[in-house]
Amino acid sequence: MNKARGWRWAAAALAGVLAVAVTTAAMAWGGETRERSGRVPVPALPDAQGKECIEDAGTMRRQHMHILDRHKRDSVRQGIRHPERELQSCVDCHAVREPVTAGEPLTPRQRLAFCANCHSYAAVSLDCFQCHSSEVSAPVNQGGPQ
Amino acid sequence: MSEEQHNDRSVNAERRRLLGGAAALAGLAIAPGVFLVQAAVPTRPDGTPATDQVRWGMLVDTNRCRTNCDACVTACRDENGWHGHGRPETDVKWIRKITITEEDGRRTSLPMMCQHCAKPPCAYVCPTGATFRRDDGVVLVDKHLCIGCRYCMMACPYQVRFFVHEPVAADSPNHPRGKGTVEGCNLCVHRIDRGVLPACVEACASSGRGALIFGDLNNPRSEISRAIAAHGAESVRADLKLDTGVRYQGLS
Ligand code: SF4
Ligand code: SF4
Repeated sequence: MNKARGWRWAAAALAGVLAVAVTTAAMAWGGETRERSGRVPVPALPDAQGKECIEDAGTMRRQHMHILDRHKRDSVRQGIRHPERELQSCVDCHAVREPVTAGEPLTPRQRLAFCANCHSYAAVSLDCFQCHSSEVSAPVNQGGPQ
Repeated sequence: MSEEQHNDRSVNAERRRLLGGAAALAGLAIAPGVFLVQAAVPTRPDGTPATDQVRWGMLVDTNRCRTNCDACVTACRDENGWHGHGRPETDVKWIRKITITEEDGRRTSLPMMCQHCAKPPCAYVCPTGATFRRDDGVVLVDKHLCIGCRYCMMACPYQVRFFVHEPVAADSPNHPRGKGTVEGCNLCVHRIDRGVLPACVEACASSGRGALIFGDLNNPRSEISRAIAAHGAESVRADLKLDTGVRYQGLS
């Protein structure tokens, strides 16, 4: 009797562990599955010009604001330049170039759809470009501006 | 370049020596005292902070400067995107041409911009620490901190700071501009940090009259120090003893 109950507990525990494992695996694939299912809206991110970002996508997704904040202080106050970490370098790589409506110039929001789409999805206001330019810099200036 | 190399002063010194040599070659004299190309700015490697080993300065030779020339002003406007709205009272003007008339009627034309004081009244009064003097002598506004109180504008004796009252037509990738903050000449930090001369100096040499010299006041061998040693130079309103980084020749 006691033995039978023990087996039942073991089976329940095993089922629980399996359920957790399956859920974790599903979550790991979740991003892709959700995108494929088409039922949950996800932000559309236009392709970048470059091949590689300064960090992997996951780190950038979570840490880009801290990286930019640190670089902002270092570069403005002490003149420590890291061209690849400048906001303007992000713009030069991620900005949309082709007009969305033929013949019409891009609006700043269209140009920076990469930032704006995700920020509006996450409901986080995007203030950088109230002052910083959303224009792609001239090649001579790339990797240089403040 | 690796992080270790960045921090290695001997590499830095070596680079400076090589660059100095290259600059000497680039600045081939076509006649004594007349240079074809101005010596380039010594560069500081990426990833290293500005230090007080360098003090950036500018020398204006008013004997060469002419009333009808504004090459420096136009170049600065294009570089830093401060195109105005035709409202002189409120428009931003990082650099402007002024004419001084002496008592004997002699007129001197000169460009006036932030003088990059070593003892900057603007920074002393700033309540937020937005205005500060970088270690290499450039006086800047950190617009992330500026609250637009305009104390600095009142403290500055040269009237070279401006409040951005309204949006400018086009924004400049070279210079982020916030409505409601104060700005002024920053000696083109974005250019000098990568070894390029300020836009006004470049324009004065190419389409103006070659009246501007930019360089390191701390280095006795720099072009600017040699010119000051040879012919002297003074500050506008030298009586205020602000130890300006911008100096003028031919004022008195
Ligand atoms: S000239 Fe005016 S704005 Fe420039 S450092 Fe001196 S006090 Fe400050
Ligand atoms: S306007 Fe900005 S920079 Fe000038 S004193 Fe006020 S906070 Fe400082």
